[in-house]
Amino acid sequence: MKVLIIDDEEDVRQIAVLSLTHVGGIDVIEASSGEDGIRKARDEKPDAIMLDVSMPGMDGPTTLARLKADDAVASIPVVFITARAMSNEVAELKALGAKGVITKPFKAMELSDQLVRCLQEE
Amino acid sequence: MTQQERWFSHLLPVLVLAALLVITGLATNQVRRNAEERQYVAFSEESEWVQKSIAGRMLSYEELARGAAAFFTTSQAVSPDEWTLYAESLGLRAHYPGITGIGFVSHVRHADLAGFVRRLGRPVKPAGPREEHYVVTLIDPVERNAIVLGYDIASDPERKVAADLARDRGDATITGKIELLQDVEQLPGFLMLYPIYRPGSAKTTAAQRRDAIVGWVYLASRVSDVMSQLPYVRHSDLTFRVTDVESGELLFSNDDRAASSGSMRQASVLPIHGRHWRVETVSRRNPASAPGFRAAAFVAAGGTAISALISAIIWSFATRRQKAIGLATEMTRTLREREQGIRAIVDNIVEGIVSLDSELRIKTFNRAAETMLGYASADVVGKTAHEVFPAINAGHLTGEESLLEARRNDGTTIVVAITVGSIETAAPEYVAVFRDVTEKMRTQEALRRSETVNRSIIDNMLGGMIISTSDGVIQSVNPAAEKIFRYSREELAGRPLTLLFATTVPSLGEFLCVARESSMDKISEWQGRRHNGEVFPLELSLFEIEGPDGSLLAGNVQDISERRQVERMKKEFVSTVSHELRTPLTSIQGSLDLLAAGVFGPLAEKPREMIQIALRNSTRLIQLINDILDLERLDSGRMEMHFQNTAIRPLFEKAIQSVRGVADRDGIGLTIESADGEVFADDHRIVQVLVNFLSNAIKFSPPGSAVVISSSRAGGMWQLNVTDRGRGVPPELQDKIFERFQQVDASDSRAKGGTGLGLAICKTIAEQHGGSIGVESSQTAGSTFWVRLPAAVADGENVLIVEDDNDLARVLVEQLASAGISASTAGTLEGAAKAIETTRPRLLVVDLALPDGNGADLVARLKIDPRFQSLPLVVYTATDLSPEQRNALRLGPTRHFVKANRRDIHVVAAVLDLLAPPKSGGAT
Repeated sequence: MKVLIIDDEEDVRQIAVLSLTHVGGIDVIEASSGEDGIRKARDEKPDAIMLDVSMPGMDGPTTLARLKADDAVASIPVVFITARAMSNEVAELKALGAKGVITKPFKAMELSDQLVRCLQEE
Repeated sequence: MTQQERWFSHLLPVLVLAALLVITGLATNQVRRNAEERQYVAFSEESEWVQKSIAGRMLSYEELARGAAAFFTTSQAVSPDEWTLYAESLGLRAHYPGITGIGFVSHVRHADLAGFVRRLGRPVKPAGPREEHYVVTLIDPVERNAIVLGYDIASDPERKVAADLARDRGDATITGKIELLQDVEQLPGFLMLYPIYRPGSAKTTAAQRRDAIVGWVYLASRVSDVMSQLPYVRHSDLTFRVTDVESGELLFSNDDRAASSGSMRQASVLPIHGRHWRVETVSRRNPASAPGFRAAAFVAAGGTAISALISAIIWSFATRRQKAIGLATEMTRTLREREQGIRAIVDNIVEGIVSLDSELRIKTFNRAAETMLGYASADVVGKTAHEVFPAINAGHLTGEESLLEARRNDGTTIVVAITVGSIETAAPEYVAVFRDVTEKMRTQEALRRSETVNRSIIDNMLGGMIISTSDGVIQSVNPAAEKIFRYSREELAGRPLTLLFATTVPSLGEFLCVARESSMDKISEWQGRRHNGEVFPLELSLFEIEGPDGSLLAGNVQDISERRQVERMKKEFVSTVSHELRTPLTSIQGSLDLLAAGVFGPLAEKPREMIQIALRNSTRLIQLINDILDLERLDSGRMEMHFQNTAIRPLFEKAIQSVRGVADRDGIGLTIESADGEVFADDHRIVQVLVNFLSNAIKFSPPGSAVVISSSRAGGMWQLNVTDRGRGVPPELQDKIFERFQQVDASDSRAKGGTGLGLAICKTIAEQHGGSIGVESSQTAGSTFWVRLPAAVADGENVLIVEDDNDLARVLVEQLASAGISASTAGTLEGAAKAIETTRPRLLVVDLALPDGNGADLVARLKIDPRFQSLPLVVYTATDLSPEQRNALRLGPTRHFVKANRRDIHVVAAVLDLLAPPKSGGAT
């Protein structure tokens, strides 16, 4: 399984990468911005995308909209990661077309499990 | 004038009048008597004329009879034709009016009757045995008297007596009253008989005459014919009646009425040929119409008039003096009364009245002035007005009211409102009327100051104040309102209230209706509109005030756009802070997690301990942030709650599951003692509360002890208990520990790793369930933390219909029942509130018009109750709702509609729609 993680915070990205690779055994591709992420999604065709909501420049929802507008990548499931924990915010994010929402701070040892659960959810 | 004088002045004219009237009466009487006398003389003369006429007429008849007798005597035998010739020669009609016929009656002895009848050639009638027969043998005019030929007048005693008397007397004799045979009218008549004797026979004695009698010439006449033919009588005003004295029978009367009435009457008896006639005359004339009587009337009338006139003149003279005296007395009295009245008014009037002469010296000083100013009238009369009114001058003498200071006797001053008017006399004089207005001025001043204070309060209020008429026309606004709406006071005066609101309500009237309903004596939120068109949120509360011209509407306005801004910023701040804190914490926590889990290889003991410390505090920091966020959400009402019937046991199990690891690590046993019951609650939040209780219990329990979890019934609630064997909570802290950042010991938070917010969050959650929270503790036996939650409601009663129309309510229940939905009803606000609490409806149907209030109040109450604020709601109203009202009348998914004829259809449809399983994107 190959996951693209798009987050401007390098530390968080690194923890996520370590967690997914070491705990979950998942291949991870990193992108530090929305534009970078869209490009890498087209190039690499990952199985899933983890997308940070708050990013300078192109934010998470905009990136999602671009991804969904692109037929080549539109079918790739996207899971948001966000520090905004309000339940209504979670619902709003899901309504945008995300497969799931994982809130920060996530537990590094459980991240891969959480991701898999999100992807398996109908 | 004395009583006697008055009496005399009345009596004198009366005496004069009486005397004059007596004289007039006497004169009148004299004139009348003279007239009467004259009239009577005239009447007597006339009467005599009548008598003479009658006597004369009868005499002429006698002469006629005598002549006819002479004719017989000379002729010896007279044939009917000769008789007729003789009669015609007499000219009966012309010369002897009143004679019906003139005839001859033969004297026939009974022994000679047969031969007589033979000679006569006609029978004698009437037949009868009589010694002598006096038979009518000749008559003229024959044609109208034929019936009498052959008639034996001796058959009638009246006629026979007259005939016998005539024979015996040897002179003309008349009968008494008879009816002539030939007179069809049968009026009173008489016969005049004149005897004829054998020529040469002795006729000296009656006996000789009886022997010598051969017959009688006779005249037949009706009395009325005789009388009416009297020449004088025909033209006289007299009436008269003729009576036969011997028989007393009435022979003639020409006026029956006059016979009984009439002022003058005279009677005399006339000897008429062997009988006597009484002739009674009566004047037919009205005595008053006689010239003499008219004169008397003139005398009477004129005399009376002159008497009255003279008396009146005397009366007038006599009474004029009296009247003059009376008038003078009356005027004096009136003037005195009027003066007394004026005096009374002046003395009793509350105004002070002072009259002044031309030099402004005081002439009079009334009682009110004395009282008001403390002077006695006598002290100030004669002094100048300046003594009392130091500042009085010509400017005050205009008749206009002005304010003036008055100096009282005790040296104090008062302010009076004074009016000085002038009286037009030879030299101008003045009347000053004044009243004490000191108190009024003081009150006005106080009022003015109070108004100034009020005004300045209103003007300096932070809130805007709008005063409008009750029909919504702005009267004034305070500076704060000017600032809020960016209009000046002048621009707003006279404009409608709707100018200041961004409302979709079409008319001012409807706006007022909505505003009164939602904002009268309470605060509601509106969209305001500033002068520049900017729309902003504002809070409005209305109240009514009594203005001088009726009630006014006052609106308290608060611009809450800044508050909204702050709220928005706070929300953003919390969100931002949590994001900004969480992001680095994610890195820290993640790094530590991976290290501690040995992902990068095993660690030496010391580093591993260090990493555990870092990890624990990182976790605590995250928990603190989560708690702060939770509290913020609970406070702002943005914590979403999902209430449902929930069994208690799974709640306990979920909570235990969350803390099992910690408990096991600390060697604390977790025991569920009992888990009966079902509550109406948001299971996630209740688990949160239980976890909090359990975490605390585990933290403070001595190692090896057990924490016991149980449920128990507490009235209509279920109580969930967590009991530990810890050190307990001192009584003075048992309430405080549910407040924020309160712990039993300040060092606890550091020692035991709490945030100090957990119990505060639990308390808020319990309250939002309509429940409560508490602790029972002793420092030896440990503590029991409990939360009480409403018991689950029975299945089935899941729609509550709040409707006071019982029929409609029943229809709705039946229709919902047929759709498989059970419903209960409430008819009042109070009943509805109780039913909501006990039955926990999953949907509410509300009719706004209820007997004890407006359904909107119920909705408003539910709106702030987390248990019910997301309850599906169906509202129906009698009138259309404004968008503002619709917004206020909203809980969870809500349907509004206006009552139609078939309300039930709409209501049932709306209920079914709201209770249907959610469709995608179907949220209301």
